[in-house]
Amino acid sequence: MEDSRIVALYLARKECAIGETAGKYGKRLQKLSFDIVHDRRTAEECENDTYLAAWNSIPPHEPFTYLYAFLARITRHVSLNVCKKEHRLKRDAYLVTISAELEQCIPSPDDMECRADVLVLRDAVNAFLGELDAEKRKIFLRRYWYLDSVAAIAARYAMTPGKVKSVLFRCREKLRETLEKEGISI
Amino acid sequence: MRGEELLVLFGDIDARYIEDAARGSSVGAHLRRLGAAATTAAVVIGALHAAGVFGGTVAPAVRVHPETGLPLLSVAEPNAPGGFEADLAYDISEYVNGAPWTTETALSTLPVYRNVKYSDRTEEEQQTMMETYLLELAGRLGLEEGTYTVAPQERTSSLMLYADGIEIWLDSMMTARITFEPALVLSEGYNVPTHGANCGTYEEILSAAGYLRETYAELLDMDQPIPNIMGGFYDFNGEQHYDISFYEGGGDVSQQIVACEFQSVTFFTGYDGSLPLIVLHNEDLSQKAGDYPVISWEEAMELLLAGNFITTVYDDIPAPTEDRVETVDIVYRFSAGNEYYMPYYCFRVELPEMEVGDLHRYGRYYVPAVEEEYLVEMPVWDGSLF
Repeated sequence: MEDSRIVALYLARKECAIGETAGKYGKRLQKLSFDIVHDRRTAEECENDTYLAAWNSIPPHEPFTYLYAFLARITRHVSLNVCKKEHRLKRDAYLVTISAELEQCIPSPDDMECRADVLVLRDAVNAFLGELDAEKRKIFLRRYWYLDSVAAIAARYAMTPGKVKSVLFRCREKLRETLEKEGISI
Repeated sequence: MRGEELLVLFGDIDARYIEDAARGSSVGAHLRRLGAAATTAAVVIGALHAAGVFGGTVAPAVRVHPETGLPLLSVAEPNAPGGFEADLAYDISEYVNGAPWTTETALSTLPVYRNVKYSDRTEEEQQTMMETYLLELAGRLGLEEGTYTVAPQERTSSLMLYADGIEIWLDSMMTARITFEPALVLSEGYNVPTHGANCGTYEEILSAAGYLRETYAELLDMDQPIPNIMGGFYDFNGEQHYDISFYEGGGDVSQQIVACEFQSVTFFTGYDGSLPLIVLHNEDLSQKAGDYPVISWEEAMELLLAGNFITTVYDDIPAPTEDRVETVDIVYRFSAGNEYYMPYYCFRVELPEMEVGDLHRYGRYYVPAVEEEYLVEMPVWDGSLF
């Protein structure tokens, strides 16, 4: 079923919207979650939580043209929240590594509360992504949005792991510069 | 803020980027995989620019066909954001499609278009084009100047038009969604639901399409609007659904296929037969790459059975066999991520492993319709495309 029709089912409060969503995107969402939580049962729960959140947020949202991104964003958020609740963000070596890499983008990391307006920061990150060329942007997102391993990214884009690391390093530098230039202190 | 907080916050980036990155590898990666092959005589740097194929814009290094000079095409990535593509029906005979192509149609070539996203068009030019089209649509809807406002939609490249009871959302792919709040009430006899427990029959829906064609002639803006009643499939609740679309019927079959795929108008009726939404596709086809030789559907079928296809059907489902192939259509796969919009034969293949009660499921498998020598590489199903 086309995305427009699935969203229309949500808007009409037809419960089969969830079945249609699961049929079309369930496996992908579960994989996205599994890559974060590394546990099959938890990933299934995150997938189900995604459908509930989608049910509760459509309407007011009407993601006719970006349903997958809409759902994936929820799944990622829910999965990271699970890790956070279980203190896995600090214990899971893989997530710690990725967090540490991202920390290099922060002009002056500290333990203080976030000072930058979240919306301003989000817009700055979007602007930064918009300036990257398409392939670098995808590599950056595969690492920090989809949380792929360097090896997986290398295989996906037919590059050496060293090349991927180099692209990621330059992107992080560029993001840090962008945030500095925008005067964003976080 | 620490890295882990930024990691969480990073989740809220623009949906376009999320979907872009969800797709498979890039054209650049395909070329890297081909490695040495990229140094063959087929590599022509800047040839397209010299040939003026893209209307004088500077083309990047592109592989072209050594004889015709047509750009070689990279097969569209099968995975997200499309999701698992399959349809449900009690019997495949319930499927209807009013598209111009049938298995009896003789075709030697079909046009291929370059996605204008990859052109040198400036943001201002894009904005002007969108505004012009949006105002034209307002006129076609009978909205008088001064009765509506136009504004860019925050954080997207879309434009919105607001009028009393009407909103038009125009995205950068030139797809306009006209919503009516409250939904329009159609005349008695033509207020036929196209989805749900009270879904009309094919004949009732075809009759409603005739009414819509007359009532919305100005909005359709077509010389010979041809109704395309498509669907007949079911949702998980066992409720049937159809789409009512129109496409320009003037021109030869090749032009009709393009019109049907890229410039159609679809009317969505509500569960009570009212009309809440009209979607107009008006993809920018100004950058035609050329007319490409196409294979027959029988040849495509051979490729399908040999494993040369792309699909989003799960990888634990066996590859298609001839006895499971039920329908074939010609479609263009296009989304913001594709550099070229090219035609495919879309085969619906029965998946007995995935039946839902008495409903059979039919997965979609795509075989490139252009001849193999015009492809950067022929897709080979290895069970892991999803």
